[in-house]
Amino acid sequence: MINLGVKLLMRHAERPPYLIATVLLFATLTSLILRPATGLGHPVTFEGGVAVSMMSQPGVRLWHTNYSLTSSVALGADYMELDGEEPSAIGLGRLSVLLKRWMGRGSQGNLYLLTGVGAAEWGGADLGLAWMGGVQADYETQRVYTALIGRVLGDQSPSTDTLAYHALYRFGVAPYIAKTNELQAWLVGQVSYHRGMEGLPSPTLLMRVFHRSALWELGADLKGRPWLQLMAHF
Amino acid sequence: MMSRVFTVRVVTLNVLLLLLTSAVSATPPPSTAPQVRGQVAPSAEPKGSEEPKEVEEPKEAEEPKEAEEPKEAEALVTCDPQAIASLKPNQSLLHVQGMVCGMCVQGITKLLSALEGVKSVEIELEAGSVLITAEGASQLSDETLKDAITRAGYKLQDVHRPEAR
Repeated sequence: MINLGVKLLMRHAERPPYLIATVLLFATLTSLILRPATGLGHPVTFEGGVAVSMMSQPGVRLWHTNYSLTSSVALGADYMELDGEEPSAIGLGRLSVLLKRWMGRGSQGNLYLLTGVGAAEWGGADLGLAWMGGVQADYETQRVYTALIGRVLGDQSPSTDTLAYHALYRFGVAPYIAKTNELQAWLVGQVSYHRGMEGLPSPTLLMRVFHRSALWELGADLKGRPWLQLMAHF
Repeated sequence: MMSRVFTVRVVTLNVLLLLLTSAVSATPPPSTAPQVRGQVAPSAEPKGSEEPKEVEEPKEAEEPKEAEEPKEAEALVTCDPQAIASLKPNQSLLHVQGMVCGMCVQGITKLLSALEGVKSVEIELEAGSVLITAEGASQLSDETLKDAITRAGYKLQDVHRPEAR
């Protein structure tokens, strides 16, 4: 994928605005593919539970859904579209496993294994095999929330053979504790690291709002790019 | 420009205050050791077990270890005694570990509501409690409740039922 990014950069090198846009889009793209599509929510819900989410940034749209077979195993799918002169798309089948959950009264810590395999078509290149593997650890009370994710993405096609790594950390605080069925707000900050693309992604600040089983996230990174995410469990 | 800088400072201060508040009030990280207090006993005699009287009764035939068991009494400390005292004959009050948000509430509500004989499920997130009202005067077994909570991904800590009057 990074190779593809370089190719696109070269292609648009003579046009500075496109160069910047391409760099930013690839930074976002890497971040999106490598982070959980559920917006760092729970990759596994409850037995028989269905989760649906949608994320949008300028030029990028991502849809994710999963179905929990048990309280520790979920099957899902991701689909992402990336705008540009030559639009890109990726689809992944997902398998997420809750390896361990620590529970206290009003607190929860989780360790997940994240996997995915599918196909990618980047900027007009040939359709190639894409795969993903990672680990997510999170801890949450009604007052604080934190998550750490490490992921690796591979993508292979006749023109690409790439391995990319990504780490992301999130921390959030709730200004107040809502009662059941009341609106709960969170302030969340996230920082990510992309090997090979250091310095491109910037910290993002988000306002997260929870009501019943629906979640909205709205925010922007320090470059001013907006972030919108919706998620719901059924 | 000035007002923008001022706004940024105010926001930063607010965030710092929130971080401090949360650090003070946040619950400690989950322990790897299982929480034994008020654990649901696998045996089929949980009703009214909070009463010291009830605890004493079966002790004649049991080992002295059982009589020493302070877990049930401790469980009462973690619960609202008034809530337990006001339980109706067809109600059970559960304490569940791991509930932190509306999505947790949804999963538990869905799986408990699907059980046969359950009339309603009410969850108090802050207290970590689940009030189950059964149809008629029936009661659901501890095992049934524990299974549903486990399938939702959480841990049943204890079950309280109305005391025999």
